[in-house]
Amino acid sequence: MRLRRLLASLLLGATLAGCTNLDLQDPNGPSTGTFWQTAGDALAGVNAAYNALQNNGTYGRWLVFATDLRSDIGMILSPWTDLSNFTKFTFTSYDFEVNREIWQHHYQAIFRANQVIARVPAIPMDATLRDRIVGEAKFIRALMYLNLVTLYGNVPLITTPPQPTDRPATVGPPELWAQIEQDLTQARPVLPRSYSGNDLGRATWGAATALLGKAYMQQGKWSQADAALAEVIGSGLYDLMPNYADNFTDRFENNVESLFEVQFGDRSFLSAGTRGLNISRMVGPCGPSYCDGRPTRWYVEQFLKDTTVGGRVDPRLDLTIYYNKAGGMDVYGTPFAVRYAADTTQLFFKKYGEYYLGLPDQDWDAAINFRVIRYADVLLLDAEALNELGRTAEAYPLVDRVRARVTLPPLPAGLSADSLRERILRERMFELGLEGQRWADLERHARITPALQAEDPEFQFFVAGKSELLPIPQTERDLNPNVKQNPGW
Amino acid sequence: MTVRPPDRQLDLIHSFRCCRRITRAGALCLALLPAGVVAARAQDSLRGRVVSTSDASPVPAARVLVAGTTQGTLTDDKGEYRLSLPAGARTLVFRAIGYRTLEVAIEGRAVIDVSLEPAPLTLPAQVVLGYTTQQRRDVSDATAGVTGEEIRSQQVATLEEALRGRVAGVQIAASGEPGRPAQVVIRGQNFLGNTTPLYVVDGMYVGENPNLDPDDIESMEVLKDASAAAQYGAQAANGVVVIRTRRGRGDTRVDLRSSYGFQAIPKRVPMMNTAGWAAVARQAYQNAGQAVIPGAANPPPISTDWQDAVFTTGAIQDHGLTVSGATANASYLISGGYLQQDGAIIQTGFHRYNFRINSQLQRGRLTLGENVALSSTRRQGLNGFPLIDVVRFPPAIPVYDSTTTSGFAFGSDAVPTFGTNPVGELRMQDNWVRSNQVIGTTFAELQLLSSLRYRFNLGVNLEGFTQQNFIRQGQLRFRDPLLPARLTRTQNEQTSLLFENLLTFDQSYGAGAHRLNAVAGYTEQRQSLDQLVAYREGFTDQDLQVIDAGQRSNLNNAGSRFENALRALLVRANYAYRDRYLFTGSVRRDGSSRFGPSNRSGTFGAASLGWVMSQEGFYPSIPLLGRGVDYFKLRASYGVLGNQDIGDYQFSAPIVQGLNYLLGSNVVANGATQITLANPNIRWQSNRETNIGVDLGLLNDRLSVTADYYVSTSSGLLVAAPIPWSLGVVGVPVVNAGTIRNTGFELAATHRFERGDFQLNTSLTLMTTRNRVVALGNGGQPIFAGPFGVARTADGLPIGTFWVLKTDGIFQSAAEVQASAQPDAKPGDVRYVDLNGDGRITDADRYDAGSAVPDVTGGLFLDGHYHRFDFTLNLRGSAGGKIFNVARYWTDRMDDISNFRAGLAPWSPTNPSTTTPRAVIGPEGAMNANPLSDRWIESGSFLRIQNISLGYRVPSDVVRWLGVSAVEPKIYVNVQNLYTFTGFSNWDPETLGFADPLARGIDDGLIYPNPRTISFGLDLRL
Repeated sequence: MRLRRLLASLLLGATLAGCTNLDLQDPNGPSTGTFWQTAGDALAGVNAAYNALQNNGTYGRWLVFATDLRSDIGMILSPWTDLSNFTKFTFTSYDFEVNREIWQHHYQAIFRANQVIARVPAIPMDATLRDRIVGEAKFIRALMYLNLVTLYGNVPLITTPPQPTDRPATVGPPELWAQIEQDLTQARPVLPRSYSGNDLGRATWGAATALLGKAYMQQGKWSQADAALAEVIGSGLYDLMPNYADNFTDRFENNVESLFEVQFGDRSFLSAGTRGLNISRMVGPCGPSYCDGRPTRWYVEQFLKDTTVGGRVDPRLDLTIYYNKAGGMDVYGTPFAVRYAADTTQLFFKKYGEYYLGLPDQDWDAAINFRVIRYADVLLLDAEALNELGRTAEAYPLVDRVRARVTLPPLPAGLSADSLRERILRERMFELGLEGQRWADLERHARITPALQAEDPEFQFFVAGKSELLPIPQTERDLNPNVKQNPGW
Repeated sequence: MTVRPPDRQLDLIHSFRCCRRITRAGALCLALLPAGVVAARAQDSLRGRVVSTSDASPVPAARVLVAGTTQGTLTDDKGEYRLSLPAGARTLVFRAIGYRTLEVAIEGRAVIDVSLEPAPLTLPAQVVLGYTTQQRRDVSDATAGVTGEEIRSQQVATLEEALRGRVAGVQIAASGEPGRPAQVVIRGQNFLGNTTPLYVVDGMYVGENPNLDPDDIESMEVLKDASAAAQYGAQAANGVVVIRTRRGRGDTRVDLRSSYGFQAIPKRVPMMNTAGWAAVARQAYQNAGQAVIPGAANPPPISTDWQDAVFTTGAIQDHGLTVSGATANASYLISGGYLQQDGAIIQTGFHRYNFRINSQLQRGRLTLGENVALSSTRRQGLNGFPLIDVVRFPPAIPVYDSTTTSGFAFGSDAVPTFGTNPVGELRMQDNWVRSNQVIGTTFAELQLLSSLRYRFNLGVNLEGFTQQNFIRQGQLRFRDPLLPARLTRTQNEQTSLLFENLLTFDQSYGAGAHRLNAVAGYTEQRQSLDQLVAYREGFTDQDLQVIDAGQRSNLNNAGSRFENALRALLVRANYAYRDRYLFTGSVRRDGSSRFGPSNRSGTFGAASLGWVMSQEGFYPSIPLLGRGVDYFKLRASYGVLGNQDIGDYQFSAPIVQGLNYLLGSNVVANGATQITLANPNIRWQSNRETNIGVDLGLLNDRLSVTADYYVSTSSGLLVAAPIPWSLGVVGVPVVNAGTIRNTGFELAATHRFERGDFQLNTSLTLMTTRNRVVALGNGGQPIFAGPFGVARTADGLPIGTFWVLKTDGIFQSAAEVQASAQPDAKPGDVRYVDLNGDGRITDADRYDAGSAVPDVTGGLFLDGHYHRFDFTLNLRGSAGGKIFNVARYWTDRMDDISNFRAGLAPWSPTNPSTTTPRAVIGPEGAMNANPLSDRWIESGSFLRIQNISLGYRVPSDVVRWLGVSAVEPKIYVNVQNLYTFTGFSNWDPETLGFADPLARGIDDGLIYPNPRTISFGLDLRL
């Protein structure tokens, strides 16, 4: 009796317990073991790699700080001391937010691209689609490394999904360029010439080819660059938009002039897991935005040196910069002269702003896609390559085509190769301001020197042999003994 | 009467009284007299029997000493002794643990029988050490505890406060943030994750602070060494705190307590006023060759003291009611409490309602019972980083500005700063955390045999946890966009269940010579956390802070679930032989869902040995020890504990959804991928711990001393180790990386003093901690953490050592600059030491500037009674720890126009400061503002008057008019944190901010200084 009661109670205890399962899997999403099985997984994977292009350190916020504000066309004037130091080639900490996020977010995009490149080929699915997806990932990876080699020079090269114990070593520009060329060469043939419907915005053959041309340009491989760029031009797929301004709003996105854009949406898309372009919030005019970044006075002065066939100011100036224009200029609903009455000599960036929405302030998340490669860029790059190859005459029409759209007269005939190079670089500066091109343009011709302080006083803090490259973030150095600091830092 | 107390009149009176009062013992007392008379002639040997006055039972192992000689012996199991007397022997001294010492004049007798009066021990006799309960004197493990009386005499609001400074080996860093749990570290940091110990409340495992009303606690025991903690196996590596709540006893009684008080931050960091700030700011712009900002050129007639604006005096009230009682086979206790604290910083506060019911019913062999606590708390903490803004926000900005959208002032063209108005930051957010929690156990126990019990335990910890974050519409920062009001509400439901089957064996043999106490059990734990998050923005009426009151556009929702389970078999046994030889052994085998299938199981175990040398026959003859030390116990233990506190599913990497993109005409394209890395091979961390200890009783057991030395080596360290950013991973994978060793010495001494109506207990705790990383995985790759990566964890150094550039004053001349490793510097700049001598200042010149781990920590408690008065005094201190002061970085960096500390005189040609560099805005000042420099590291040593209280028991006739009789209410006043002696320049050297275990001791702007609290209270027993 007693024994039976004991057994019963023991049994009760055991029944209440005994069913605990130790084999618990994460229910919050598929795991790596169950993913990468279907075409849907492959698409989701590559979409996540595109998503990484929206981050602060990629195209969402900071890249223009490194490419345009650090160059002679831009500067920083901000109460945020550390941010202000960034374009003066000065850091209190190499982990400073801008430097840190550019580094982190580029490598996060590379990790996502590497997963697609490593995992998707084994997925049983439509071969064309599979190859296309891998090609898109290679395009993204090449784009990221192109930015990194331009800004940092020497960085770790990672082409497969890493292990936690990996401590990848720094490699120099030759290896990085070789990888970029290889990725783009492999991506080109498998990427379609165009997309339709809900695929519009993905990387195309044209985007990969033009980016390859750009990679050749940065290495001074002019003939290969020309070959790639001429192929894009000869494809007949692209044309200039009739109206220059239509490249910088959210109303004509992925248009005929566009080879590759990073797609952004306004704040109503935040909850959908995507985000907007922050550039204008950071570097737009004071009041509606933080106005941390400003155009240099020299840049504006250069614009004013050329006039249209009608004798007016280059219309691109009014679309790129806010200034105290004779005849008035509206700044988010208030005339410039009124808003900045205390100091009307101030200059602000206008491009990529949503001033046309009729709102008093610029929101953090602008809906405007960032133009990574535009056809005007391709035309001018090819002109530059041709000029470097001594085919100066062939370069003229390409430049003039860009000038003609904004009613500027053709370039004067008979320029020397050196003079034409100057004119092309200036044309790029006017056409592509705040589009992430200026730093690479100067670098390509070894023009990043302390001499630029004549154009941008911030270059008084430039130290030759050091400031050409950004410092490797301190934490990367601390956690990875195989990464070397750049010279001088 | 020949019985003479050693030296005190009081004891003489007491002995007489005992003889009269206790009949059976009294008979024996009187029986002494004739025996003594009969034997009244010169003798060379003597015999007798020692019994207890309480029940006339024999007292074995009592020491019988001949006063003034080394001669002595011990009584046997029947309490009998035999002793040969040296010439000139006049007095015998009888000593036994748990009894008052007695001196008896021999006066020529041959037989001396005595009865000893039981004395309350310094610590309670019975101690609950997890699954087993032991006599304190039988314990061979390293444990230390606090009793409910000690807690109640301190008037503390949380259980960590009750432990603080009381228990050697426990380091507690508290925040002044109302309701925020303190950081508890037992015996150094041997884990690189959460260091919170395991709390076991009436048998229920609670991983977090269990939010108890300290008034409900009967005892709290800290299991410090491996042998004590091994019964909790995989969850024990951070140490275990075993809490037993109060039960009903004796007649029905009602206890009422009530107190009111107020709290305020006792210190202000002296900052500059507007004139002082403007003078330095002007220099900064002029030195940079820039136009001076209008606010500094022509300072406004405003000088805001931001500390006055943010710090306030908060009211506190604490009330409790307990009804308890017991009959022969049932007991009950019902208690309720209410605690309400307004913070010492505006907009912060805490309240707690708690209710408890503990009851037990016995019928025949079966005992049923439960201990259940319900609590409801609501906490409003800090928003943002107000404790950096409160010092750095310029005084030239007023608090309010009716022209802004928020009504709060902020930076402008005149005073361009992106700092956030700290008052606005606190006031414009309605953030709170509410928790409704049930922690309880219910059990059934069946007495199978007289020495064997079966027990089934069911434990629950259910917590509903709601976090609300409402940000009102309005700008708080220069040039900030105007965003809509936003509400984020997070609802968590946490369930934790424990099932336990235990068999307990308890028997003594050989007339008590062998005592065996053992438990074997099977236990299972299951935990789950469900989380639901909702977001809305755009509220027409901002006082309606409910999800449905927001707009439907831009809404966002999220949800997740986490589960884990643990299964274990455990055995623990305690054995004592003749009160001399003590043994404890435990083995536990755990299986955890937190590791991959091949690494789930782990076996942990430990044993300890104790030797009560003072019970040995030869002991009294040991020189010095034998006579000077009444009680002498040696202890040693060794064992292995585990750790699995790494969060769920760490062995696999999830595919994260929602990494979407927009394609076509803004069509959302779903994206998903892996963004973290996982280590499928992670396994248990194991801690091997050796402990050697000694327990002493001196001065007739009035002074007890416990000392311990331990070495704890944690290998296979589980750590979320940061990996290079270039791997492109978000977050950090958990790895088994390396080995950490903690060594420490702990000393606890308690002294009891009584004279007449005066009683004073003094206890002192001291501990040293030495924390060293012995090896790190990944080829010894250091781990960097904390702001700016300042805290480095590397081979041969303590966890989170500050790794910074060494400064060497200020450059005074161009010649000094020329001769230095900083050719670009100018006179007035900070000089750094080129430690590697390469002629440049780089990251390779950083050095070990100390860590937050103090060398010595201690506490002193005085606890006294006199007549109707009682008082307590508690001092607490710590020496040798360092603090990285981030707030000071912002005020002293000198290349920014944040406010400056009062008295800061930047270098100038006319003021050759050797400590403060020149003020210069922009790039020229950047090197002076390097955050990785020892300029920001300060000593964290302090001595704090933690607690003073004074109470008075009001005579019952004074309160007779209330219509109650025999009631003596106690009234008291209590002061917490009266004063702190420290060189630390911020408010509080007790830093608990973001609390990254890899980066402790960082004043990061989330430090809520501990306030000074003064309260008045009343305790009433009916």
